[in-house]
Amino acid sequence: MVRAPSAAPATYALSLVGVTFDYGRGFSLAVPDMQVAAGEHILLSGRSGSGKSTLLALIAGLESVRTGSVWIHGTDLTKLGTAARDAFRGRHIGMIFQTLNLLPGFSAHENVALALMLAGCTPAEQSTRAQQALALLGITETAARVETLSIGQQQRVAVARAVSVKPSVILADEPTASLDPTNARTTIDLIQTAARNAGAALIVTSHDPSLRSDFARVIDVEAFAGQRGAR
Amino acid sequence: MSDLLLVWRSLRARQLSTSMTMAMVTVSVALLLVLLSLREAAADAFRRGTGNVHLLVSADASPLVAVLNGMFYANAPSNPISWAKFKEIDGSFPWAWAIPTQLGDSYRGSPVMACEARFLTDFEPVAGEPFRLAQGVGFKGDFEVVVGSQAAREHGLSLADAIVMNHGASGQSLADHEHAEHPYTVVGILEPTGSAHDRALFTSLQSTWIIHAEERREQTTDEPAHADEAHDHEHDHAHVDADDLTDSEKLITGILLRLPTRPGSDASASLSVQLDRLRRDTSITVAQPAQQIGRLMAIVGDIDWLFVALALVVLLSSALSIMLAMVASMDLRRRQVAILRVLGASAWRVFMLAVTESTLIGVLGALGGVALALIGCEFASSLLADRIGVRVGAGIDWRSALLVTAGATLLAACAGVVPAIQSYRTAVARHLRPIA
Repeated sequence: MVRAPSAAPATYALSLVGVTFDYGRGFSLAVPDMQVAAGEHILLSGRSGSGKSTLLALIAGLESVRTGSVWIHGTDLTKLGTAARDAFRGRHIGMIFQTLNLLPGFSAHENVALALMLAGCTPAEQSTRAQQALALLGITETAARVETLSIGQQQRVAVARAVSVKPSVILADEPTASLDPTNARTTIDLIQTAARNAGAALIVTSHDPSLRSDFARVIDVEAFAGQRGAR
Repeated sequence: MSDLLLVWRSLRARQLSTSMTMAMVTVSVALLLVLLSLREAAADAFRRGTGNVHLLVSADASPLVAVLNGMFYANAPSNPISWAKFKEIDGSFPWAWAIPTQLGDSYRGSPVMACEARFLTDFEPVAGEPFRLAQGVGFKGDFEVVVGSQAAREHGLSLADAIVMNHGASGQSLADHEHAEHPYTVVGILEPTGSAHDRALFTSLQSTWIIHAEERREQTTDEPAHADEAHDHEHDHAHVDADDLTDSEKLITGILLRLPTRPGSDASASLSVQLDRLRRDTSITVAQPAQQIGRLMAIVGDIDWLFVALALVVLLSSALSIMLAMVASMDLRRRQVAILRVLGASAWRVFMLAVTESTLIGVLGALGGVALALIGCEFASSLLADRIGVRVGAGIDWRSALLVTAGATLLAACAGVVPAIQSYRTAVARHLRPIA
């Protein structure tokens, strides 16, 4: 049964109402009600395969919900057409991945400018805002191809790309999964600081229990899993 | 950052396959353009050389060979025509003009046409465009020569130069030898006509007859002496004057004929009648040069359409190779597509990026092909001029270039549709995950 949100979805940075998703093969995800306030940082925890990445994909509009609504910045993504949802994602959602997913062959500046271009910025805006975002994250070699940068610098470029569009929500999918504890702490600090500076809500997924202390609110995704199957 | 830069970087990321597929487009477009341009230019150039001649009489094996030898200097005609035959034909009809010619000698590989002086005034190498002298005058006396523009340029000839002709068309055969005892004086240099005549030299029939008569008479008197081992070839040459020439020594290899026409018209109502009449004489071959060139073009035309068809197949296969190269790189492309999608690019936009990428290969390849075709036409033009004396325009037909470029671009764009559909259908979330 779908529960009504406790407040109007428009007042939250993110609001999921009665969301269900079916993977097939006997596995489903059901999020009756989940709200994230503007500027709030939350951790989605759970074991590998519990559906954390799927939930992020639903929030980002990369997967389509079976039922329910996903509200971001006062807009119900499930009501948007595919192209409008893509455009909305470019403007209001910043994403950070475990594998960073930077475009090889492109410079740090171009990787950030690309996100800004797809968010609808003019070439002049792209250049200025990319430079600002990279400077804030301490990247000086902006013209260097990303594959020539150290992993730490690449992470900063990925964070700069996510925050440069001034998103309402930043989604970070297992950003520390392949890092040692020290680098994991540094990365989480970096992402949280960037999100705080951007004024964006931050949703981080991780199976690492040691990160729980860094977040005021932790949501266990395993509670949303209808049935654990092959995934 | 722009979509075009994005596409350009994507192409650069696969430099080798991009350059290979682009090279295929370049070669096929160049091939197609060179063939299309040359087939028209060559036909025009061939039509130019026959000028205002209505009929050509020779003793060659066929009318086409007669035209190629007599008007394009392909080879020296092998059989002569007697002076008596010329007089007979000349007197058989009130021709506008009848010009006897003789081919067989050469100067450093350039053909020498012995003819009457009116060849340079009455005969027009291109209808309506008579010969014009760039320097000097036409030949009047014996052993004077007028040089075609290309021959003058190739051999560095200028007025008053003394040159020695070779017996034989090529000057390279064992039977060939120099007519050293009779040097010719260059008295005129012609302006370019854009025809095979540019690479020829023109002199009087009488000069050639005198030289060959002297040689023939020397051979007759030398023959017993050749058996004598003491003979050292240093002997007095026989001297022949024009008045000494017998009719049997006045040999020619061709007769150019023009029938009377109405002012402003090149056609003659009695042409077919005269052609039929002359053809009844089995000792000669009569050709209608314009018709023979038309026949030649029809034969060559069928062959070059085959080449054009082959070039089209190459163009199609290059489009196919664009598609295969892009599909082969799909694993790399899917991740890139997923990143673009997550950053806000719509499925249609990534579809168009793939089509733009293949289109760009087509455009750049086609532009390269146009450049290569310009070089190819230049090369083919000089080759045709050197080998058969036919000057064709070195440029390409820009309408064809535009059409072929547009066609290649369209084919390349179509080739991008399959990888574009694959990009469109890319499952974004799945391709953003770490590779297992």
